[in-house]
Amino acid sequence: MPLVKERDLGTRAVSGSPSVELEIDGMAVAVPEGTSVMRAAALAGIGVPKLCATDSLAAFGSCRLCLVEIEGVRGTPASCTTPVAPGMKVSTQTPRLERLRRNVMELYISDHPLDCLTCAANGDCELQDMAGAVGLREVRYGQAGQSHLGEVKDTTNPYFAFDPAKCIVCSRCVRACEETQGTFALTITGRGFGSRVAPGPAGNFFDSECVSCGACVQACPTDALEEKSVIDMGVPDRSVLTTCAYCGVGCSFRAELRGDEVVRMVPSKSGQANEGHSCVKGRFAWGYATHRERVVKPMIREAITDPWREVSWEEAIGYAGSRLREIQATYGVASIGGITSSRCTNEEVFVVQKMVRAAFGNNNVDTCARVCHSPTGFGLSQTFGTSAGTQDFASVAEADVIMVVGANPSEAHPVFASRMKRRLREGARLVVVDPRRIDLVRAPHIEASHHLQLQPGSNVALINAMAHVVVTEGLVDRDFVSERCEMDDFAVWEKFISTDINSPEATEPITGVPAGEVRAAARLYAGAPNAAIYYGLGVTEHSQGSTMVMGLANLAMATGNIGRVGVGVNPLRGQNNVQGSCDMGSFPHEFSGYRHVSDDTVRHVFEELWGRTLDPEPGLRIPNMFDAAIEGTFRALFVQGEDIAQSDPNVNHVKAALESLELCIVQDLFLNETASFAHVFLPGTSFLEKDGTFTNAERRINRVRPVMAPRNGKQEWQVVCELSSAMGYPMQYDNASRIMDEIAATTPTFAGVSFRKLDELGSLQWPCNEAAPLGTPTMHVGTFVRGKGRFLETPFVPTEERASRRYPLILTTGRILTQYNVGAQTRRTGNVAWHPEDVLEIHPHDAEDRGISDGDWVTVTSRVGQTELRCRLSPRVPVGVVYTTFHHPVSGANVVTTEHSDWATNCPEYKVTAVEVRALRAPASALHRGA
Amino acid sequence: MPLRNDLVQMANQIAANFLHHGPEVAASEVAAHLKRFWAPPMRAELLANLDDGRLDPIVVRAGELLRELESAGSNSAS
Ligand code: SF4
Ligand code: SF4
Ligand code: SF4
Ligand code: FES
Repeated sequence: MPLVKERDLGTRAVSGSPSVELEIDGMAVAVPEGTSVMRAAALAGIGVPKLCATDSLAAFGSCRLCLVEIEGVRGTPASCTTPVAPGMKVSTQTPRLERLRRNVMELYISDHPLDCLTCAANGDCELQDMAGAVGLREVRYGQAGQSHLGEVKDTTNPYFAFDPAKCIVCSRCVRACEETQGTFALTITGRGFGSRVAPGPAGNFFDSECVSCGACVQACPTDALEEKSVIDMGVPDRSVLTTCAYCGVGCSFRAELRGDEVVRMVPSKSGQANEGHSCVKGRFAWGYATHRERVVKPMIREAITDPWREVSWEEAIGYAGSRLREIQATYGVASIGGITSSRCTNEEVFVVQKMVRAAFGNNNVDTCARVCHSPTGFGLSQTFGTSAGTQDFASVAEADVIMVVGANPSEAHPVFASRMKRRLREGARLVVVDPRRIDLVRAPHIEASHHLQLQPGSNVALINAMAHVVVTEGLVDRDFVSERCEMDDFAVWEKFISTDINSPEATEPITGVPAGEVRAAARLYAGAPNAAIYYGLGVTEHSQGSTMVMGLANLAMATGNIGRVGVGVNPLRGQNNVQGSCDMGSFPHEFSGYRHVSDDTVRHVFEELWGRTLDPEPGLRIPNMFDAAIEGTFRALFVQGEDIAQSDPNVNHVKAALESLELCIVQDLFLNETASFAHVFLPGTSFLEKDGTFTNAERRINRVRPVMAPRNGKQEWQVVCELSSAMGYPMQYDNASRIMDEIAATTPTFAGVSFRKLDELGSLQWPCNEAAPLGTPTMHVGTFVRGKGRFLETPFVPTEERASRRYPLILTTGRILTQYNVGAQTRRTGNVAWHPEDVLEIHPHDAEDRGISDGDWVTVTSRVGQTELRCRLSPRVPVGVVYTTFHHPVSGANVVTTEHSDWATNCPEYKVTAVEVRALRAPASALHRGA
Repeated sequence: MPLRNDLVQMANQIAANFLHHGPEVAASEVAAHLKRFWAPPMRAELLANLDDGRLDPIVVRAGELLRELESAGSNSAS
């Protein structure tokens, strides 16, 4: 595909019908009220010269290049800041305007280096374009006088450079940082000629508040802010539209290349999830795809103590297939299974679960979503009838109260966080429910109305207390409940929740949150015209994760906050395709579209198409597989793109299970921790090579297009098909779109999805079928998927994992912006500059009690294991709670996490581990860490 | 062979989360849950060890109900 440049219409779109008619350069134009003259002209195909305006930002009116003449209006108003009016007659090109614009450009250029030919932005520079557009031929002012030309470049950011000599002080970067990203890291200091862009008091980008989202680089019209990759490699000459493979936001990007090399990833304005914004991971951290440690040849070995041997694809697949069959012949059909990955495409996941069900002949398939959002599936399907968030991301712009529960969007879902922050700056109120003081509690121009800083493990007690207030203070939306919900269930729930045991006063000793705060937060939520809940793994990764999801759903139904824009219950999914991998039938008890394997009608659909009798009984979940492996009944495992030996809890137990297997097949990019236990390594493809779809947290199905040929020579789904065929169950597809056709043919919620339609429309939110051919942005409008909404009692059952004299602190885990999950990708990029190691956050009081100082090495010991971390004293965590991330294998956060899990789904209780922390004077492992 | 610890822990935890229904309803909810979400070998192991002594009485009762469900040959626990 040639390089596609998205058009810049100069100022933001205004919604509404095109009711204002005017004339621009003699052409009739009709646009919505509030549109700028500049945008109206652009829509009519007339480009007005501009420098300080860009259509992602509010108009600023500083450069004076976009002047126009308007009949009956004195002077030459700036078209970017002048709104259209009915009957207006605008001229964009007159001798007077030409002269004025040339004068403006002349001033800019007189303080700008004239080395266009050697500038990295040559051919991709708006200043250059505008000089051409206004017909600038000479500069009357010499460059000998005072100028910015000698100023020093700031190259501290790993990915982009700032060259003040090329800055025209248009302030687009400053505004992008404020309006698009919401970080407010940049300012313009000085006045007049002395004004310049400054990254805060730090003086350089790296040490400033900058989170390296790239919005300023994107907004900059010149080479002043430029990607280092462009400086190194030159301006790209072709582009492919695709989807980020990091988090559940699912941002659309144009991968811009020279030949076969990616030069940069540019967030796409047409991407409905991100609307032109990005974060540091998707924007910059793609270098891992070509990292030298990537394995691109298949390998096998007899024993995990043997060295790896590179083999042909035929040999690797033949060996894996025959070993799987041998093991089944010895230990039974149910002795093998597979794990699908939330990092892989829907198509790749679908074929793995098909291989397990049809070729393996059992339902022993599970997905890494088991360890993050399985309670979402359980809780939301019980109450609403389907396992997915209720809104699209854009919905947050209509929310009046936003409740963020156990999620840290600024770190884990940054592009959505920027949307949310925009709404909060506009005045929406915020309730944060989190043991830790996350960024949102107080960010630039944002302050949470309530931060309910609860004890880890007391979520259900807290949400019950909020619901208790709603019910006992008469805040229930009775009309909604009686019209939309099962009244018998509501009556039972109402009685349960009204009991004193659930009152904020009774639960205060459990949650640690003052009753008055809970009452105020509940009133705020219930009283809002639109209140929306966003939640994350701080909800699900608990022994009562499923109960908490039901509690959130109850609260939303009781207050009528479901079924329209601006409200809802929204899981923020961790990995890029958690939603999709769940949708695709990765759970051992469900086919695609969340239909139980025991449902004869559904099973027969697959049996007929696949030509195999399928098992009507649920298979093993991931933790069950590990336990059965140690017991000796589960003998072989296929692992698609997941590092279970690092990401799963109590890794010593996981490693023991993996070690006990007779055959472990790993399909991945790198020799990860899990691969140390593998006998067959099947090289995978990076997202830049994949062809398929990802489904983000708002149920949006986005295309992932191959930017380059697979470095391993095959698409991952092809490898799986060949393995299945080697086992005697032939699977064959001409291309990935055929797999989507099969998904559509078997899954009612996907019935209307095809690659062709996705290419036409950009993306689709499921359900997409005859009833909703263009997809469904908001769910449960008018009626719930299950018909009537169902209230469920949610009694608080404390976790068995409790603090004790020996383990007095509670460890909870989380993520950081620059790193992703177990870090296999991000650790192989420049992002390590921000997070070279995981650290333990500890409250200064707890540190003082233990004689620990900031930066000390400490041991963290739980009932199951011990690890060493460097610690940081931080009042973000309350007394009694410590916090760490799990991005680096060496820190082994999951060595200490236990096997306690959600009662309904076995989702591990990562968020609550009783530990003791002790100062470590001589860190043994620090030596080999080079610390 | 004694019942695996993980199965004891999981079953008791499920029972604890249905306890609010009262023992008889809780037992049938637990039975339905096991039928719907547990793989047959795990259920079989539980049923073979209902006298393990570490199981919550609700789980024991659920086991009896599950046995009835299994012998009825129904796969359609709701
Ligand atoms: S990269 Fe993002 S956060 Fe950093 S200064 Fe630019 S806009 Fe602000
Ligand atoms: S760095 Fe770029 S965007 Fe920022 S003021 Fe200078 S020219 Fe404008
Ligand atoms: S990591 Fe998430 S927020 Fe960042 S660019 Fe990728 S999809 Fe967008
Ligand atoms: S583009 Fe309108 S004043 Fe700069």
